[in-house]
Amino acid sequence: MNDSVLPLPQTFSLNFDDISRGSRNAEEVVTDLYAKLRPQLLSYVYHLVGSTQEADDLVQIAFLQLFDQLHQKTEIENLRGWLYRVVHNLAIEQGRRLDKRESLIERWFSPNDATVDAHSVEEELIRREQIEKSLAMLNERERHCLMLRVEGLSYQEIADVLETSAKSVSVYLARGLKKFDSRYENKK
Amino acid sequence: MKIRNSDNGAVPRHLDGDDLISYLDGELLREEQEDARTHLESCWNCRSRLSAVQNSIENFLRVRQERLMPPDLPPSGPALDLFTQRLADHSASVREHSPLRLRISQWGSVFRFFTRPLKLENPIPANSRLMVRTAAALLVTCIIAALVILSNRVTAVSANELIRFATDAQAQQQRATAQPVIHQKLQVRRKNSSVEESLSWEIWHDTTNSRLRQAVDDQGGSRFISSNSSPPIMNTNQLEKASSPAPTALVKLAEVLQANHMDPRRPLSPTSFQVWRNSVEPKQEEVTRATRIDGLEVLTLKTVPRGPVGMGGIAEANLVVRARDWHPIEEHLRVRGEQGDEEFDLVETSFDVVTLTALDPAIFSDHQTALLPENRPELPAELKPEPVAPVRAVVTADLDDAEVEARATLQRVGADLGEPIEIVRSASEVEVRGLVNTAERKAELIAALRHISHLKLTIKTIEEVSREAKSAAAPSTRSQPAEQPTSETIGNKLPVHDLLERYLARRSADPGEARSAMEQFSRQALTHAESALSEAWALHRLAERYTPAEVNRLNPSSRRKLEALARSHLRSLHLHITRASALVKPALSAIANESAGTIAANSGWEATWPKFSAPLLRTVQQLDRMTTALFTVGSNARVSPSIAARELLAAFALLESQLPHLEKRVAGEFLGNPESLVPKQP
Repeated sequence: MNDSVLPLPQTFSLNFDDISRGSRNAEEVVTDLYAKLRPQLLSYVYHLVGSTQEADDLVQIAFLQLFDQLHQKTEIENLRGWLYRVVHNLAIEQGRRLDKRESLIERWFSPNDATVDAHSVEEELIRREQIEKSLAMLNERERHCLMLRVEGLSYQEIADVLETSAKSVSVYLARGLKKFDSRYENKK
Repeated sequence: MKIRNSDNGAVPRHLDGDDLISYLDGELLREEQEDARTHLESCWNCRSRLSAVQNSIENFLRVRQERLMPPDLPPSGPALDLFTQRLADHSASVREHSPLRLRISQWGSVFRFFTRPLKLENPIPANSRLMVRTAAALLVTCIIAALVILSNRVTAVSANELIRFATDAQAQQQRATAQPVIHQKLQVRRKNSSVEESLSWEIWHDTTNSRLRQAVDDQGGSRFISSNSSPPIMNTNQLEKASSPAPTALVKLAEVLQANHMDPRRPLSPTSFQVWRNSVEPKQEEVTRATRIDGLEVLTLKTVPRGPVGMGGIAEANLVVRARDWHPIEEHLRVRGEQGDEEFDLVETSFDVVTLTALDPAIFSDHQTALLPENRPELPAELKPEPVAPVRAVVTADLDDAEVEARATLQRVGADLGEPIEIVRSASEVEVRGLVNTAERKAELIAALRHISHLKLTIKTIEEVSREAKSAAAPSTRSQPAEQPTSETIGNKLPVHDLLERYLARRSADPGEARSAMEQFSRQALTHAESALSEAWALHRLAERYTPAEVNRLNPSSRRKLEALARSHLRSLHLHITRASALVKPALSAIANESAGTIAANSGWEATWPKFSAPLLRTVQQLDRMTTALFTVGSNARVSPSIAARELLAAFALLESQLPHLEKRVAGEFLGNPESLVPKQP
């Protein structure tokens, strides 16, 4: 079930001395990190932008920005938090630029034909509708908190991404789950 | 964290929802975590809530897995390749630009060096000052040129970027020419299991007048294959009414492009490619760069739909653009056919944008059968024309979809707010009729709408209409809404002049600015009111068109589009009201401080579709009228300023109390099931 939930380690050995001495160049380091971290980041960004291609594009841009940071020898305290913050902001900005808020929400509810395992089409449709309604109960904040928590981020990291406090994150999470479940459970 | 030991220290207090989840996540402070654990051991109530939270987490995970995860991750191999290339380019450009930044700052000090004496020694002769300025301007030009040259270096791009750059490049090319006619020659090859044929195809596309002329050269000879009648009417259901036989390859190609939402008139256009690309999800894409034998550097975007592809659908498309200027030069399509896949290759052999006046007038002459000079004899029988448009009965549902789609598109390009554009339904088609100010606007609208099937576009510019009017009867178009509040003229006084003057004087120190501040103030107030009114009208028109019975006929996706449309109008309306209110209310409160809220309190609207639109429109109209009465010079004040102010504030109050309800109402699906339309406002 939670196969992709393997949390990222918080810190990576981003050895700036190595890089400046030239034993490993910044490009290699960033490429390695990209290869390793792409899947997790992709699944988070996908839920924001609704298209794997766009999500991939944004994740790559985030790593190009990471390269710039390394290049300018800026320390990054918490790489995982930093990356999620960058992709989150990129996705939100992109949504705003393309004014795609509507379509993003629509994507949330778009039928996903990969779903199987239903006894009948009708049952499946009913079930989908319930899921959609249960998701629709959540507001944006709650959804972002839940999705970031699923990715294994700590409350403080989530708070940093969303520019709020760790305490608020716990409230959003509790409220989000409750709303989600009241709908989900009732209809089951 | 609200667990605290009670007085006797025995049982800590119950845990809140956020404490429970924090406890599960190990996010409490160490002693809080300990207290919580002790409490949970002794409290059934909290323990069962804890397991409910755990349960919700599992449910959420399940739904996330099913609905919120990408259907399938694009493979990491190509992505990694693209990234490596992008990073290499990026890092090269970083290296190139950093010394440049230094140089700019050096130039900056040089620049300052030149300008400093200029300020100190005033009596420098004017022409030497001019020389210094010229030198400085030259410097700036050099720096900009250097930046342009350095940044012109083409970097690795994503699919989105490639399309965007190619579209921009093309638009720029057209903008550079007055009355642009795109003249393009293409080599077309069609190949399937039984046939292979190729021909050369020549297209003149007069973008200003939406005329298209085509010629082919194949074994049947060189000839015009179709001509466009001069009125700017396009029917996207048919490629053209071919007057001369169009070769099968082109007919088939047109069918394919049509069926895949691409534009048969602009076979190599990146916009057209993009429309198809957007319609495909999920898909796999990659951009590769290559250097041809002739030394030409090209980028190829390959798009492969990952889902099942139906008959006639594109199973793979490649768009090739020149790296140096992003100009598309080739397109290769693989199309699902009944007997295996069919391939179409389009290769551009020449392209230029010429101005209409420089073109041989014979090309767009009305002699539909006009032949090219080097005409060769009759066509062989097997090349006689086939029906161009695929024959399929158009059902009402198609037209419903087309209409909603057209409305949504018009809204996107801002063409549903008062421009005389209307949508007319007949039994067999949906027609968009419009009168627009400029040829650019017309081109924009046509570009936005032409991918919609079953849509007939009759869009004319004012110039075209007046030209036609000279020769024949005037066409029927809706005229502009009658009263347009005009901005005040200098010299006359506003009805609220004194009040406004006092109000603005308090806010700005300089009395000299008072007049312009006042003009600006009233102009803004009028603009917001007008904009709000346009939005209210747009909503009202939608509501009138889509009664509950009509809504029921729509399919879910059209319904969602319609909902989004209404939502967006309402949101803009709300925005303009909020801005106008923030601007106007503080200024007017002096005249009408009492009684503002009283009218609002006792009237609530029925917040249901489509009933809310009428009272909403009425209120916004009232608001617009009162704004005009107050802030227009020489508005032959039928109402006194104080009454107008009071009415205006009342309208604001009413809208501000109602709009949030309405917005909430339309936040989700509100057209779906009839019951959701019922509840009345408390």
